[in-house]
Amino acid sequence: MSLQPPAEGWYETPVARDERSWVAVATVVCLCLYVWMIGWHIYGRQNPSSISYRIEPAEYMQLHTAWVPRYQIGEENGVPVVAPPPGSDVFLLGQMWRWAPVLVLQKGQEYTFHLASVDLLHGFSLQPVNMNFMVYPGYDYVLRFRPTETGEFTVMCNEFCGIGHHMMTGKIYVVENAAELEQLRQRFQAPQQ
Amino acid sequence: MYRAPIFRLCEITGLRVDRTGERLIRANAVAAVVAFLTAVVGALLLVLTRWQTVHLLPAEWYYRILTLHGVNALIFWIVFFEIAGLYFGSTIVLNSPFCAPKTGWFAFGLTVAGFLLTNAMILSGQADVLMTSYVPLQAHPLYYLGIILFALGALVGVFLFFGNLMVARQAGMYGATLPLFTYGLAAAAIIAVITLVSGAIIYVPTLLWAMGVLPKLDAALYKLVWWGLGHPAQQINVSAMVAVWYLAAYLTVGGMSVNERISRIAFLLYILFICLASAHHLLTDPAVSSVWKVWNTSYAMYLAVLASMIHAFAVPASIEAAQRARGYTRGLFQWLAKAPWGNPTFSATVLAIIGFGFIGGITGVIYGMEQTNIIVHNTLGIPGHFKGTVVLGTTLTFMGITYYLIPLVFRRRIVGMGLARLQPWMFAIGIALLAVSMIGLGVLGVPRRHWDIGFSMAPFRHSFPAVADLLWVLFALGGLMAVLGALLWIGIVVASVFFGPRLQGAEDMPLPIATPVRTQHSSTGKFVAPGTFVLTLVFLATFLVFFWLNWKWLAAAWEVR
Amino acid sequence: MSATQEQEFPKIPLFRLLLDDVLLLLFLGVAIYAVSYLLWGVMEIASVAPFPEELKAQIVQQAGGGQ
Repeated sequence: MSLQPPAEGWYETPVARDERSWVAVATVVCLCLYVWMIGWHIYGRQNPSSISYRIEPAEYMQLHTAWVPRYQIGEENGVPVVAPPPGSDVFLLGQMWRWAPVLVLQKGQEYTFHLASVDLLHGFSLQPVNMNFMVYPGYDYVLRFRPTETGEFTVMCNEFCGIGHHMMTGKIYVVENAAELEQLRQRFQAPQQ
Repeated sequence: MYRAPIFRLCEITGLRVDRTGERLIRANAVAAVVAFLTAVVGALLLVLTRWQTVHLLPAEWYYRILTLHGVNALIFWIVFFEIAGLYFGSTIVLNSPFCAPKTGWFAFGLTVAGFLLTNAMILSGQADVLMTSYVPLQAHPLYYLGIILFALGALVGVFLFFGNLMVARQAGMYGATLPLFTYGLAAAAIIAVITLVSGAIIYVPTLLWAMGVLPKLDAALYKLVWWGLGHPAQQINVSAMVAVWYLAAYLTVGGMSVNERISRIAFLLYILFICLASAHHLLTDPAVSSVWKVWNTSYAMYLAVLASMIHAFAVPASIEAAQRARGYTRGLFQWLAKAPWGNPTFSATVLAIIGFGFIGGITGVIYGMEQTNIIVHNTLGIPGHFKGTVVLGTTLTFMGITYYLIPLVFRRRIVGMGLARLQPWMFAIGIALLAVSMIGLGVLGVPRRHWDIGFSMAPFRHSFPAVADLLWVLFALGGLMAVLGALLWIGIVVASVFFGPRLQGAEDMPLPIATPVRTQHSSTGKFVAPGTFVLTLVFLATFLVFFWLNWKWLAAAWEVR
Repeated sequence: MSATQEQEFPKIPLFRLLLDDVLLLLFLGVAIYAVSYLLWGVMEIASVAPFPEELKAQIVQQAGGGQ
């Protein structure tokens, strides 16, 4: 009786069998969901990392600019193309309104991404894999990615970052082996038409 | 400052109504409808822009109207209506006077001032920061001031609710235990305190930062505290909505909670744990650890989800038990088939329960898990989820109950009852279509808050699978239908409140108030609501299917740790 | 004596008192949220370590060597 105080004895009323069963089932489901998340950290292969570092935007920019030429293999649409060696650190920069550089990765190899922004919040959205992470100014989000498929992937921005937000895209190539990497190297070294 | 309240006796409910309190309820409800209209106009423009076949607004105006829509739909409409609801539940329902009417008007003045100032700043193009206004994105200081004024006024309103409870308690209007409806509102009010205090904690420094007094605000700290406002604001809705479900079950079929203790424990779980879910917004973010994420995102081991699942049984069960007591006992579902479907409050409530559970609830739990959030964060699936909770759930519920509140509080008859019967269906089907297509687009990776997914001016283009085109058409269809349903509701409300024939007596009541039926279920060995039990099992099965799908999709993604 | 007192004032279960006490619930709701979400969250954010100097030196040096 939702408009009047309950009748005397409301507290002692026994719970009906169906409601009791449903509450029991629901409780078990809830506990399973909780355990599942912890279990995925142990057995699953997709978990957000807990590693982040504090870093001033200017400082991150310095790292990014020092790192890009090291493994640069060319340029695409005016954006440097970088092929970092497997296992190395990757400084993918989010800035109004670009992702830099274009990356060339090898399938099955792990790369330590350092995601950071030098201005506003951005959303790292890898498509069509559909993996999404937040990118902050002032923080380096350390995520160790291992691409499991080859192909061309787009990085979109999916956190609003001003009027040019929808123009903020980047690119990641994943190649099978060193020979394919070489093909890409030649493609991006050649002068673009 | 004692004021002798002027009561009128309601001949329909037999309740004593404090006229001053009633005027405050009316004022807040009218403001709610104005905010809702603003949000709906925004929604129309947004649907016609994101559906890129039309692509109505230029980019600048798209983000501007998106800010307007978010703030008005998720904050102003909902909070104004909830304040009206809180006043209703703490005065009229308890036969009790409003504790401090002058303060009530002061609070109303603050909220209206905040509402006007915020919207003025948005429309003048000085606050293109979206509802979340993530620092270091910066708006004009007056925008933040507007929100602060609104939050302050709302906070005063919430404390007046507690004041009303104390007055009623002292006058012995409810003994020790509140009516369940008011109890649910009390839960909402408690969550509102958490929400509004978090809002103050974050918006005051942000205002100072925008004024140049504070040199810098940490982006992570801002986002953490802001969601202490942003998410619990929607949990107020959940709690208030469930309270209204119990009320609607009572008014339409005379349904009563099959076990008051269990229903109250569910509200208790909301109060204690639901606000932890603010962490849903930080699952793919740096700076907070997985331990913090898993604990908070799960509302401390899913205790608030347990609460929602309890209500998901208890509310339909209250309807079923009442119907069965009335003699509709054949089979599992005769009670449902013979329900008063012609009563728009009833149909709105049932549709809201189904929509909230199957669309909003299932996606909410799965998208809010730490790892699956990776494949949905900031995709269109997220607004798809909360179209299911806030719009199909809360908004439709609030729409439904107004068909009783207009005659009871505004003392007017409903203009266009035939249309009113149609309205919940139109709105529900529209929003359901909209939400489901958004969820589908989210699965494809389509971003939310994005003006051009054709990437016509971007250095690299991405094209989404062809099925996206079909989903966009459904999105537009659903969106337009929902807008029509919303405008229809606004039309009925405005016509009834301002031009409707005055209610002369109980015989003028457009919708009957059902006679409560005493249900007997003293034996624990019995099923009180077998039909509902089956329905909840169907819900559980649907949940498991969607759970399995999402984790399968996640497992197919790149490895990340 | 105690028996008659209990008869006159039937013992109300503590949990029922908790359910009925809105102000106590207000306190508990705010407290749990403030500690579990807010304070813990702020502490985690405040304790984020600075970017390791070692790695920084390595990146910048490598680049210098490459020039």
